[in-house]
Amino acid sequence: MTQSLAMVVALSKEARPLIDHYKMKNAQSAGPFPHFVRDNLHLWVSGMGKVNAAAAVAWAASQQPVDAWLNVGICGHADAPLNTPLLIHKCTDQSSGTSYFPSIAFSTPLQSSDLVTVDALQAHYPDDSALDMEAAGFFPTAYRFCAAELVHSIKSVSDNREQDLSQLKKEHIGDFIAQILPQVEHTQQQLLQLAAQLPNHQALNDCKMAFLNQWRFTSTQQSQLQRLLERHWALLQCLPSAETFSCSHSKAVIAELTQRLAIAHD
Amino acid sequence: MIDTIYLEHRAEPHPRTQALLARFPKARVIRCDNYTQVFNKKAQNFRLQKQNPALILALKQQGHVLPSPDEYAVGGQHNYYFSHMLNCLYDCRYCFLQGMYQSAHYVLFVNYEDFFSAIAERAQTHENISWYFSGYDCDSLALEPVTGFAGAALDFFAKHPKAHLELRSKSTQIRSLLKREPLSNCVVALSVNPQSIVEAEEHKTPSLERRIHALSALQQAGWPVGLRIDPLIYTPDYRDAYRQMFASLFERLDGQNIHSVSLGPFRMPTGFFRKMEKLYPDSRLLATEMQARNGLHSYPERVEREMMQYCEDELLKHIPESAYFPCSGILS
Repeated sequence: MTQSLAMVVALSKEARPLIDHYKMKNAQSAGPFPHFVRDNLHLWVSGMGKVNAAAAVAWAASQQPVDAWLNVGICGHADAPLNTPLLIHKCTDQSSGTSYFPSIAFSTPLQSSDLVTVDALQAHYPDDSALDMEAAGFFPTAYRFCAAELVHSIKSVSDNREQDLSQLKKEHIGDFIAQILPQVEHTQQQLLQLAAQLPNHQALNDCKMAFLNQWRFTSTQQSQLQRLLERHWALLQCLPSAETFSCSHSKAVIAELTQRLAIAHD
Repeated sequence: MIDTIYLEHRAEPHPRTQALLARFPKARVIRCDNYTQVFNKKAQNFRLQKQNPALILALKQQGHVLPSPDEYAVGGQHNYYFSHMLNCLYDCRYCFLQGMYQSAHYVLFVNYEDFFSAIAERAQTHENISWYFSGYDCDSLALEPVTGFAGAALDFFAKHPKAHLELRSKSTQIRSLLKREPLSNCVVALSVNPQSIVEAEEHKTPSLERRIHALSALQQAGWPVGLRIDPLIYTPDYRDAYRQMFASLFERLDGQNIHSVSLGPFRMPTGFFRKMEKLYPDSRLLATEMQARNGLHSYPERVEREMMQYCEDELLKHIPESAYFPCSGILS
């Protein structure tokens, strides 16, 4: 599977169980956000708050291609038991009133929940909604870089009306994430499987590069070439070899490819 | 089948909403102010959403009945369409809905009564018959066990004989129709294509054989039935495929008593076509040679003419010319 997924967490203490579980290494990048990586999985530590979350997503997207995004963190909830894993199905930014509706395009046994993102820690728990400080920055920023179906947030309940914020100890934050690692892993796998269904044809990209290395194509011709190669694959179930084209210029390549496909059509 | 229901606040008290929520007690219910918060948002991907579409329950506020495209007509002078639902259970690769919407969720407008009031109002403005087409933005019957829409519509049309209804579908969900007396002002029109096309391009739909069976049962029960062969899909052996399909259809259906048959070439607004190409670059259908003419994408002129002519000639061996309604393609 070549698709990549980026996890965004607010705190180092939330990141630690994920880093250990996935055996990630510090990417040693000089950027503004700590970055850990193993194979196609990345983890970025954003810092608290929606502005930091949005900035971390934007930074991460500028550093490497990301096919799917997962925000992981702790949250408050009025009555859900501690350590309950919640997949967020609606996120409302308390300060603006704007709501985001993560599109769940996969089957999941996970309980899902509304979530309200607040600007500061608060002791009041709304009915039927989780509380966090990042998701309303995470969602709209990640939506700029990939399909909404590939952007999700999973939270672990760390405080509720019975055991409120005042009882939350910093050294236990990692434990709440550790408790939901199976659900995080399941969701991460589902997202990567979903991302794999989108057209991302490595062989086609390689084939296109072979043409681009041999002839000079204008921007318009590059678009034409891309579509002709896609059509070649769809109609003939194979890709042409650039070496079989004895053309002196790019226009002739486009013409020959078009001609080959016309023959295939008949 | 439905594991997520989005619910417009204002639609929540509607009895039909309550019945649907009771039908799917395990579904996660997510409330929203307006269905457009969830449906057709820019970042959504139709292909991915199609993996697991949600049901959105909403109220249609305006534009319940709209003038229909000319090519929808099957002999009537005054033609309208209405969409109690947006999107479809099926996944036909040629369907314009995947080019029109970003979202594959099913939007169900639960206030059927407002559609019927609008139809009654519109019908009163015409001295003679007016036609109302369902199935433009959805399949009229595919979700019937869930929506009960056709049943409600037939109750209404039974009392309004001057208003004529077309239920257009690929579905074989006809039990509710067979249980009641047929209505002469309601045509059940099934879209058909050769089985090879059904398998290649009409994903999740009933087979041609099952559709023929449903049509035959409806016709024998006295319902006016129609055939919609639109779009015609090119394959190198299309002549054999369509000729055999006509033979199979009219072996079981009485062609002389068929209400209407429409025939139309593949055509698609260029903007929609471009979007569909991006969604499904691996689709054989969309990779086939097409031409853009007058803002529409279709087969090359020669191919389109030959297909229409051949299928028309074959079709008219089985039905009277009065029942034949060609859908104008780009050429006309």
